[in-house]
Parts: sequence; structure tokens; C-alpha cells
Amino acid sequence: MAAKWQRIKIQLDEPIKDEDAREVLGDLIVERIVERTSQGKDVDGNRFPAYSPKYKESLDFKIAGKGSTVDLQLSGDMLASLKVLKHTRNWIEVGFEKRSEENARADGNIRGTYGTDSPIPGKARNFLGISDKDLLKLVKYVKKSNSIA
Amino acid sequence: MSKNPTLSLKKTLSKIEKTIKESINAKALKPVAEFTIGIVVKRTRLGYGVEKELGERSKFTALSKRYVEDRKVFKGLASTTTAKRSNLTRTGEMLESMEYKVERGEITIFPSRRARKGSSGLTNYDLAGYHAKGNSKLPRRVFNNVSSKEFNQILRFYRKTFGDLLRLRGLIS
Repeated sequence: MAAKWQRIKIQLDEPIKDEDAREVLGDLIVERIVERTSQGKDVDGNRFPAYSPKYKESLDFKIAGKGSTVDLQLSGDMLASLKVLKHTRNWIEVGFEKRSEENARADGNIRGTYGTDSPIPGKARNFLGISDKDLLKLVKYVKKSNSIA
Repeated sequence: MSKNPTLSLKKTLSKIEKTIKESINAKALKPVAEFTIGIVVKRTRLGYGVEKELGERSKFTALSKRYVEDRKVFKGLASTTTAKRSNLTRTGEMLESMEYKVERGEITIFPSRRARKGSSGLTNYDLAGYHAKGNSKLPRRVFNNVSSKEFNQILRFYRKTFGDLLRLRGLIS
């Protein structure tokens, strides 16, 4: 089955008219998702399901110098490909390029499919999104830095 | 007498200038260079090369059957490869030898120019050059480049380092 296009539309409580400010906010959202994922936490702040013993024993795992933290990074390319796709004054969309290799990898993680047709129970690792609390913090920061309404 | 209402940015600008200078000096760029080497070596060991600067990564050409057989009986095969894996690793010496130089804000990473162990003067630098050039018997395998996605990772790392410097100088909270 083809991978789903992984993207998320983040609604803003209040419209942001300034285009540059939205760009900055989008970048900060991406940074936050990457940072939280690197800490081994999903969208809701919960720990990701552990890696399988088979994967842990693999040479790739050893080469990447991975430890016990599930950070969804082997080469690091998947998280490096996360970007702002679109934005309007009411929402910001972040995600992956449609049909890209990284989108397929992200889809495998988010739905827990990992190359199979249906999700493997308990293996979904949803990292694409931001909590209301984090979003509020970032919006506040951008508004303060840019003095925008 | 009233206070002069003019705002002088002299102090602030000097702080900014100092921070920018610091951000491109050898000491500040050292972690960036080390991070870059880590990325390049890891990707190569995973079996991917990058043909041109800021290009896309691609799988290395598979090893020949004859060479795989040779590797199967070779006693010194590094733990970061297998007989079949094409990842520019046999003893592991070339990738382990990666070094960097920081000059005038520019980072260069390269395999060591020292002679390889037990070889007749061949250096890891020469060996990497042969792989990058390739010939009729040796497929071209270029590893010492940074892909566009790796650039994003390096940029993120640099921003973090630069952000720390700005915080240190009290320019951002």
C-alpha cells in the first residue's frame, strides 16, 4: 500500500496577518517537533514504544550509535526533511514532501506500518504534531519578538 | 540639564560583532566540524554516498562476488560492516581517520594524510581519492560530501550552538 501523505494543519487561535511571523512560527513548530522526538516523546508527551529486539541487534542500529532512547533517527534524514508546507493567517501546515522517501518513512512510524500493509499493533510512533501548551508558548514568543497583532 | 535623548547602539553592536566573530572562530566551529564528520561517517557506514555537494544520497554500488568471497575469509573485517555490505569499510581505518580543519570560518573535513597501517605508504586520503574517482575495475563511490538533508541537520546544530553563544552574551534570553 502506498504511504499516506504525512502533514498536519495546525489551527491558530487568533489569526496572524504577518507572513514573516508565520514563517518564523512554522520553523519554531518544526524545531519543537524535532526536539521533542529526539527526547523520545510523541505528540502527547508519552514515551515512544520501544525498538524491537531484532532492530536493536541490527548492524544499522550499532552503526548509528543508537541507545535506549527511541528518537526515530537512524541517518537523521527523516526529521531533517520535516518542513513548513503552507500557511495562511489561520493555520500552518507542517509535514513532508508528498511521495518522498522520507514521507514513506514518517508514515511507517506514524501509523506503525513499517513496510507492511496494516499497522503493527503497539508500534505506532506519532511524532507529527504539537500540544496546545507548546503552541501557545511559541505563538506568544513570536508575537513578542515581532510585536505583531 | 536634561539627559541626552539619543540612543547609542555602540555597546550593543560591539556585543553582536563579538558574538559573530566568536561564532566563526575555530573553537566555536569545532563541535560543528565534529558533528559533520559524525554524519558523513554514519551515512557511509549505512551504505550511502553523496555524489555532489548538497545533492541526494544514494546506495553504494554492490560489492563484486569475488570481493565478497575475499571478505568472508578476511580476518580483520571491521565490526561496522559485513562481507556483503558495501560501505567503504574493510578494516574501518579510512572512515575512522576523518579529520577536520577550520580556517577563516571555513570547515574542511578529509581522511588522514598519514600512511595506512601495514601499507606501502598509501594514505587514507589517497584511498578515498581512488574511491571517489573510480576506474574500470573499481566503481565510483563518493562519500565525502554533505547532502541537502544533512545540511539541514548541520544547520540545526549550528543554530543551536550560535543560540547558546547569543544567550551567553545576554543578547537573547
